Amino acid sequence: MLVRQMLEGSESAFTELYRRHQARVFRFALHMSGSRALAEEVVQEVFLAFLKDPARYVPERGNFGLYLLGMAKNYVLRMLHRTRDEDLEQADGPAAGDDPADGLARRQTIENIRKAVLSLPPGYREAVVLCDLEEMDYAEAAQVLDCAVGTVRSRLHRARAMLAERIRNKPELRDELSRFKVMRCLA
Amino acid sequence: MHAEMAEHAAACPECAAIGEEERLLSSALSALAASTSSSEAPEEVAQALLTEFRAGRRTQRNIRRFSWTAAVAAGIGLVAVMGNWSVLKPRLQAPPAVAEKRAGPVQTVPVQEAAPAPQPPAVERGAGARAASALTARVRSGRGVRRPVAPPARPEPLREYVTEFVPLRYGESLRLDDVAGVVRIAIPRSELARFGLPVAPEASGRRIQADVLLGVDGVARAMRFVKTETY
Repeated sequence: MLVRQMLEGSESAFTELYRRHQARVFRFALHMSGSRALAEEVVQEVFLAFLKDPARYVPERGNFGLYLLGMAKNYVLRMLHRTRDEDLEQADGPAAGDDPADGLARRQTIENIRKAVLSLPPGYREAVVLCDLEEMDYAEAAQVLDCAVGTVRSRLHRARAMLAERIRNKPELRDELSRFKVMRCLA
Repeated sequence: MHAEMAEHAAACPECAAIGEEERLLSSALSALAASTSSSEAPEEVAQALLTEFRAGRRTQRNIRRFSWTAAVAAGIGLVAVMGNWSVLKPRLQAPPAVAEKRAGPVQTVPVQEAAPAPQPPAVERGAGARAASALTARVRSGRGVRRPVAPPARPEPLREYVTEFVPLRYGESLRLDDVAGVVRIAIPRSELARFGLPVAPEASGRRIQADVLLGVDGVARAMRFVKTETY
């Protein structure tokens, strides 16, 4: 409905569409790249691409938000190829310290897990970002990634196994996470 | 199921360790997700996209306006060519030798070769200008000029209808002091498409008569179409 109104020239419809979907596209790109600048660029490119060719979105094929995330995935992968992997881990991360209540330890833990996610190969990283961080179900993630539900499930399983191994191989990270878990329990 | 797993984990240290790892991981990922739950693109991105949206809307309106104008112009041209020929009179008074023609040998008005004619200013060459050059070339090469022939053995035409002269260069007005002569040519009907006029596919191979107004520099300035009726 909003898409149709936007196609008819309604600015308020476009503003509402942007307001509803930009944050999720931004967060997806941020988690995939670790860079706020790249995430901003992805949001702009995705919506620009939609404005240039709105007819490519077919409502019968799926939800508009998932369509945008599908485009975001392609843009992110393209941009990641231009960026060296080591730059990813050093890139500015999410503003974990924005909340004044966040202790230093908590921020450090979150930063470590963020780096662990960024160290995953892109195909597995996508599964973790969509299912664990954006809390999508397998069917939605499959639509974004344009693959079968079974593929999402197996990639997620493999990705979590890689993350678990990383935790296992870094005792200090495991300790942080244990303390973190205790802190969350007490909070 | 959870109860069964808990019961098994209590008895199996290895599975208990795996279960604990999974819980730690899930907890950490939840914390990461929560830390970015309010993250979004800055306002500048929204403004840039809104600007782009408004520009796209303006372009769409201009395209619609242009389409209407083009449709109206094509309609007028269609009426001029296919409609009542007797209603339309030449705006420019052509030389008497050409204004009322009868069938017979075509009188070719000599074109004065202009010595080094100044090149037309470098303006946008639209379809009209390209058509003008093509016509000039055709006239000069003699391809478009009907050679004098013996009068055909058929009844003489009783009436000739002509349209207004249409300038071949966009925005150019016709001046009487710039006329060197008028040349009658026969062109394929398909050439009408250059002027945005519709051409029936079955008629595209037939020829139509046209008068070309030549300037003193020998360049075609305008053209009108001619229809003759015979009995």
